Amino acid sequence: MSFREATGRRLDWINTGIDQGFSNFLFVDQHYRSNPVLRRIFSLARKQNFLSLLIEEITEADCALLAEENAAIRLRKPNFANAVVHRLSFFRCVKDQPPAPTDFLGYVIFKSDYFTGEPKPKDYIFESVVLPSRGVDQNNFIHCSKIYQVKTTLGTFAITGVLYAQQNDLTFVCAHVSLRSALACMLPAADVSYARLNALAGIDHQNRKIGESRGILPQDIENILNNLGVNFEKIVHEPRQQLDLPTEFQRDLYGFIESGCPALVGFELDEPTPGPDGSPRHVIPVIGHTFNDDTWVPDAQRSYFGGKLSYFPSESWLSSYVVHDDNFGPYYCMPRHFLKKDNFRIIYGLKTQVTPFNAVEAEAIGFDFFGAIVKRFPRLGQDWYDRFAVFQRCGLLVLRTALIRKADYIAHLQSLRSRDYVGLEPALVQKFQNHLPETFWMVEASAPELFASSRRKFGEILLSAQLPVPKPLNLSLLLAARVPGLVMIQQQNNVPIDQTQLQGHTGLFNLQRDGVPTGTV
Amino acid sequence: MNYATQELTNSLQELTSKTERQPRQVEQAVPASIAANDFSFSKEVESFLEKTRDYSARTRGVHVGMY
Repeated sequence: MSFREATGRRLDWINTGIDQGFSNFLFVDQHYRSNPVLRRIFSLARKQNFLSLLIEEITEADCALLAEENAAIRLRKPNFANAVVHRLSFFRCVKDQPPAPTDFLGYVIFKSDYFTGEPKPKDYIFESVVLPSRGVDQNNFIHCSKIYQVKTTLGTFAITGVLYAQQNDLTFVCAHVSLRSALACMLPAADVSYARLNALAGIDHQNRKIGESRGILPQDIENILNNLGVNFEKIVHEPRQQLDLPTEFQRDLYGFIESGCPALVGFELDEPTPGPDGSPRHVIPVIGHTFNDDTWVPDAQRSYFGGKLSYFPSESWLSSYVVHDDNFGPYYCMPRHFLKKDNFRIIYGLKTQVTPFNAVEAEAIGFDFFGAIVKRFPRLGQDWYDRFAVFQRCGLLVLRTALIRKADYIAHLQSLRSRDYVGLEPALVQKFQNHLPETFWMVEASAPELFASSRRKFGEILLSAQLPVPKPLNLSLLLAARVPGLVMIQQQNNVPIDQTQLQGHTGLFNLQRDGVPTGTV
Repeated sequence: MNYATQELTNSLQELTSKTERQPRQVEQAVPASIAANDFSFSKEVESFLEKTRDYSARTRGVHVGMY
């Protein structure tokens, strides 16, 4: 039984409105030893105008997971005495007013571990799910949220968010909590216990101990992911081993996030006196990104700073990655390029399926296919096809790449409308339905103003996510292409062309999660 | 204005003036299909893919550090 299902014992239900004189600072100082991460979570609740706080105590008798965690700590540290656990739930309603379902803003499990002979307990956020304070309307795109049911003494409530957790530095460390957040986005159960992660990594707290400056190894992370059947791709940059990543790691990272999957990003800290193996390392989960319609970067990068790209990657409009950091709290924005390549070391990008090439490579291939189409059809005498061809020839297309599912793409095709309300003919949609595999790469093509302001595009190329890249490159990877006025679906090395009435630009693909749209970019 | 943007501006202006001079008409007949060898691909993309493939293969078994 998890902390979300445990029947807590109500300790208090208090009003927290500013007009009631409630202070987050004072409350956390007085009751939770000024814990900074808890203060961060309270500040997120404040942004959502929380008006009351439910405080419940959870004991081992209520929660098998707590008993399991305590047993692990006892093995690791024999002077472990006991733990006190509070579940704090945030509500938009005042005390004594029955909460409506939308009043629930999330919860925190605050755990204090007491050790004999130590003056103070070790406090940490065992887990928390709170509503992100910014959403699609604020250009924040968190594609991997899950819905969690939380049983409280006021009733059972649902909360949508990404699970956050903090290490205890004894039985689980930064890699565990990052994995837990990332796996929660991928596993049907939406959570995994540390006992399970440790069992998969061969950590028993006796023969092999972690914590207190001992982390886990990349092999452990890979063993855990492999044993759980979660697909992943690894991007490594280890300059001390003469392994210099040939691409920009932010592009690789964006490819995972834009496909709706989380990624773990590991980096080396800046230490004035690093050891022979370098400085200590830290890993955090990346769960989303923000978007800036008016960013100066794409044009400036090419015009002023020598960029020789022949297209704009849509990642150029990204402002920040949305991350959890167990040292600081949930839903922080890490500005693009803040983490320099000098410090970057590894990405584990989780994926819905294994693919023989990644998003950056798919984008390069898609770019080539768009070029091949325009070479073959330089001009059609249709406004939007001809504009598409001009942008392609000038090297000014915007490309956006994601690994997507057929069902989502078919729904997307059915919803497409040009500005004059023309859709794709049902017979053509059926052709896509008949020919596409279950999962594939989609490379959308747009123009800078069309992409950033209107969130619309010229069309897209669909590429196989099963076949390896042929050498030399040939048509075998192409599944289909749709550009203004034309639809091409490959059939045995031949590409039949259908003309369509849909000759205008159309909306970008809208990623869905659990049937809920999570934003357009 | 850089070269690509200048070229884009000129090309879009050319399209616009054509449209204004005469109603749009299909300028290129669209064939029923294209054969595989009608498509040509760039060497730059191939060499980029080769570089990324090689690096990926070299680092697959690399495990450095602790997290």
